[in-house]
Formats: sequence, structure tokens, C-alpha cells
Amino acid sequence: MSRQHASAMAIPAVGPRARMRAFFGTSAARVATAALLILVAGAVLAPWIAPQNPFDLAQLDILASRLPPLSRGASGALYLLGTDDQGRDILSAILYGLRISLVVATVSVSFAFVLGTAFGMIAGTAGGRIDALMMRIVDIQLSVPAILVALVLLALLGRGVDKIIVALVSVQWVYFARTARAVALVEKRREYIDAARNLGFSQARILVGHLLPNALAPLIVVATVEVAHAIALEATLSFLGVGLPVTRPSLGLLIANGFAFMLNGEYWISVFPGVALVLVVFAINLAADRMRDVLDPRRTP
Amino acid sequence: MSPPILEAHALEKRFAVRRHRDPRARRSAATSVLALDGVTLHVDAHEIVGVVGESGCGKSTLARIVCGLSTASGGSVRYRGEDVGSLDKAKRLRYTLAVQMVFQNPFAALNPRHRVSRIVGEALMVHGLVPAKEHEACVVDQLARVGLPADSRDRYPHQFSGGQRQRIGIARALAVNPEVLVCDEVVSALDVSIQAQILNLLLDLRASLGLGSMFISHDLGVIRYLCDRIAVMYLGRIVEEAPARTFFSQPAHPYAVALLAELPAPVAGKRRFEPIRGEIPSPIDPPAGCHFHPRCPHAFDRCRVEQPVLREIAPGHRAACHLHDRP
Repeated sequence: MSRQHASAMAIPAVGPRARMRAFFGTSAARVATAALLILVAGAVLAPWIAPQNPFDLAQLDILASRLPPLSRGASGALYLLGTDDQGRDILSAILYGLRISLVVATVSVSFAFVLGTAFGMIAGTAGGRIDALMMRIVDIQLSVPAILVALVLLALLGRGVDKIIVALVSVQWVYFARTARAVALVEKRREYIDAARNLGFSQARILVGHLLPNALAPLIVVATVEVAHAIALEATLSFLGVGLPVTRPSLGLLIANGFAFMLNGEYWISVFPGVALVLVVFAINLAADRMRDVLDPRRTP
Repeated sequence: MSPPILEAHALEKRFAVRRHRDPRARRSAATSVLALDGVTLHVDAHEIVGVVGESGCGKSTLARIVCGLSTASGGSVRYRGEDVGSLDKAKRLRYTLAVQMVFQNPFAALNPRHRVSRIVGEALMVHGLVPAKEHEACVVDQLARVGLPADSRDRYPHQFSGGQRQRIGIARALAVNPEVLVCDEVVSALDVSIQAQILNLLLDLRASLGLGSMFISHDLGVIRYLCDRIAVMYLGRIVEEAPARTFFSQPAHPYAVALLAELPAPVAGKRRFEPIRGEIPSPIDPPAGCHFHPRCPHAFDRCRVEQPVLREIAPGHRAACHLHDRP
């Protein structure tokens, strides 16, 4: 084993910067990240870049309702993507809606991620009766449709952004718990975990420092899917009238609002928010897929 | 004489049998398997003790128990004469670090997401074994000991070959200043040329650090090259224990004789091998008396009913066989 041998293997540098470079190694990842950046920037900067504030009733012109894309209102304002039945500029509504959808989805998925992963990893490593008991709780939750759980919770809690986040977290943590447990069950039998125990490390250190990093890749995939789920579920709840108030429309609510006018040929009220929704979910999926590849050193290109 | 560093005393390990899962278990009345049945073995400093046996004989179970990775169902593991089950927290940690395992599969034994510097150095930091300033240097020292360049520490395990990974595993164990290495089939996953390097490394480490080792293998060739004392296991029991020289010249137990007879030797014209008669019996339902009697060419009536005990037949040479009771 000489120095020569080691250097002949031509190992790529591994580190945060190298990982970033690897991440942007495919055009799909570059396009997805660019799309995501534009969408997120649009959402974050909505109050400054949107032509109109769709929540400010004073700015809405009821006479300019249901105008097709690229038409101008009485005041001469350009409605790039048309207006809805209340004379709301669709582009502005999308930017503000994206903001709400993204905040609700990411916040709820983050909480669900932490709670579910902790729950699942503890169950998986504890094993035996503790595991059986914890997983039965998960099974019970999964046997009830998510929408029903969320509906009941929202009926009890009332409406509002914080309430819907609570509802989404309590529906979604189980998916993380299941995945985390499955991964923990596999990984805890690996010899590197025995090696860590043999070095006298505490259970907490082994769980967080040794097991968790090896469980992250599948959890990231679950998180992506769950962001999409969260957006869809939130839209459904809003559509049913228990989610967000109509005065603060999310993407899902915008789609639902325009749905009635689709048959009249006034497609833009629903379709453009729909396109924004598909774009954001697709871009997150592509980026996360690439992230999984890069985070797993065994697959570093 | 001071007690040995590591001692297994009458160890038993019983695994529950899930009857509905294992077709062999349905036929028997047993509800558990004795993977270890009264195993007594010790390891001293400067000593490499070989443990041989067929797969399923309990070698790996023994290794895991003496390292504290599993608990025994009976008997005790003693570290410097003290039962490790009754140690307080500080002593327990000292024992845990003193007896280090080197694992069979070099691909699974290193955390794929940790750099070599963390794999080798984490225990130093966690247990405060060296001052933080010397931490880096200590990791480099350990790597040098096993013949890896200093720049290995910034890399991940997947960037190394099997032999190099096994070296990293050894460096990880060495970092905590162990007294005994428990090597469970450490070379069986490696190419023969690499095996020799690892075996030589183990011999070097014994010479330079005075490490004791328990070397578990099914490969008598490797055992012969490396070990000072050899224990042969069969279905959870030690059937013979002898100094290496005696063992290879005068094996006492028929099972050991049979194993040695099949050790490939360069004999001109030899083209046939005589496998040991029959299959290794199921440990769920082991034969009565001597476990080896259905396969033993010398078995007589007593072997079928009475379990032979391990007794000394010459100084340092123990065997469990009724043949040696006869005058």
C-alpha cells in the first residue's frame, strides 16, 4: 500500500463545494433549480413585483372580471394572464398563491419530517414490543383516509394557516415514521453500527450521528413527495371550505375558483394556477432526485 | 499468575426458535437452539488464539459475546478476572475499548457517510482519549500503523479497496488502545494476496504493541500461519484446544483429525478428497451424547449416550472425546 497506489485511484474531492458542483452536473438539475429559484423568488417578492395586490379589495375592479389573457382594464392596466370572476389579476394571484402554498407545504413537511423520523427511528432501533406498539399507532392513523383526519381536525380547530399546518403535520408524519423505521431496521444490522457500539458510543450518538445520515436519502424522497401531497391536500381542504379563507387564496383555491368557468371556455382562471402548481412540484421533484444522488457518496459521479 | 486479559467462562447462548418459520424446528420439541454450550476460552497478551469450525458452529456468536455486542444466556465474560456483567460504568467502558472487534465484511463495517478521519478519530474525541490538539496527529499515526497514507483521512470508505478498508477497520480498533483484537473472519472476504498483507499486519501489531487476538476463521491454512493456540468448535462446543504445534502434529479429536486430513497439501498424485461423512447436524436438534458421533469413524456405544467433557490429555492440550479416557 504505497502512496503511489492511493493517488493512482484519482479520487474526486468530496466536500460541500464539490457536492454543489456534482449537483449541477446534469442539465435537468440546472433547469429544475432555475425554475424553482424563479418560482420561489416570485413567491417571496410577490408584494413588490406583482402588478396588483389580490387581497386588497380596493385594487380590484369588478368590471374587469373574467378578462382573457393579455387584455387591458379600464385603467389601462395589462392583465398578462387574464382576470378571474372578481376582476383579480391572475398573475398576481398566482404569485401570492404560490407564496401561501409553499409556506404551508414546507413548514408542515418540515415538522412532519422531524417528528416522523424521530418516531420511526426510535421504533426501528428499539424493536420488540415498543416497536410493535408504535407501529400500530401508525397503522391506525394510516387506515383512516388522510383527508378525513384533516377534515375532522380542521372542523375542531377552525380555519387559518396555523390550523392547516397542524392538520397537515398530523396527517403526514406517519409516512416519515414508516420510512424511517424501515431504513433503521436495515441499517441497525449493519456492521458499522456494531462497530460504533463497540467503541462505547451512546445510543443517541449512534442514532443521530451514525444511523440518521444513512437514512436520509429515502427520507428526502419521501419529503419531496409529501411537499406535493401537502400542496394538493391543502388545495382540497381549501376547496371544501375548511382550509384557507377565500380572501387569501392559495394555488389550490385558485384552481378550484376557476373550475366553474372552464366549460365557458374561460380556461385561464384555472389553467394558469394549475401550470404553476405542476411546475413547482415537478421542479422540486427533479431537484430532490438529483440531491439524493449527490448526497449518497457511493453514487458520487 | 494474573488472570488473563479476556476470558470466556462456560458461555452459553440460547436463541429462541420460531417454530412456524423454521421447517426443521417443527419436527423437534425444542424451543431454543444452544449456539454456545459451555465455551471456555481465554486470550492473553502477545497471544493469537485461533478458533476454527464449520459455519454455524457458534464462532461468530462467541466473538460478538466476548466483545459485548451480544449478551450471553449463561456463563460469563471476564476482563482481567472481573465479570463484565457486574462492572460499573467507567470500568465497563474500559473493557469495551480494550476488546475491539475487527469485522468480517470490510464493505459493511465502515460507515459509508463518514470520512476516514471520523471513522478512526471519533472515539478519541468522544471519550477524550487524546487532547484535541493532538487529535489529527493521532489519526495519522493510526493510519501509518496500518500502512495507509496520511491523506486517506479526508476520503470516504467507498474510495478504498477491500484490503484498504480492512486496514481502516483495524486502525479504528487500534485508535482506542485495545488489549485484545477479536478478528471475525477478517480475511475471508479478501483476495489471497491481500489476505497475506492483513495477516502480516496482525503479526506486526502483536510484535510492536503486544496485542492479544482471538482469530476466528474456517480456514486452517490461515490459522496455521498465524496462531499460537487453537480451539476447534463443533456445534457450539469446544472439542479440542491445543498449542498450534501440537495441534497440527498430534490432533486428538477425530473431528480435528478429519479437518486436518483435508487441509490441501502438495502431495503428488493426490486428486481425491475425502469429505467428512454426513452433514453437520441441525443445532436445533443435536445428536445425543457426543455431537460428532454420527460422523465419527471411531464412534462406539458410549459416544451415543454420554457427552464427553473437555479434559486435559497433555499439558495445555484439551480434548473432549471418550477415546482418550481409555487406558
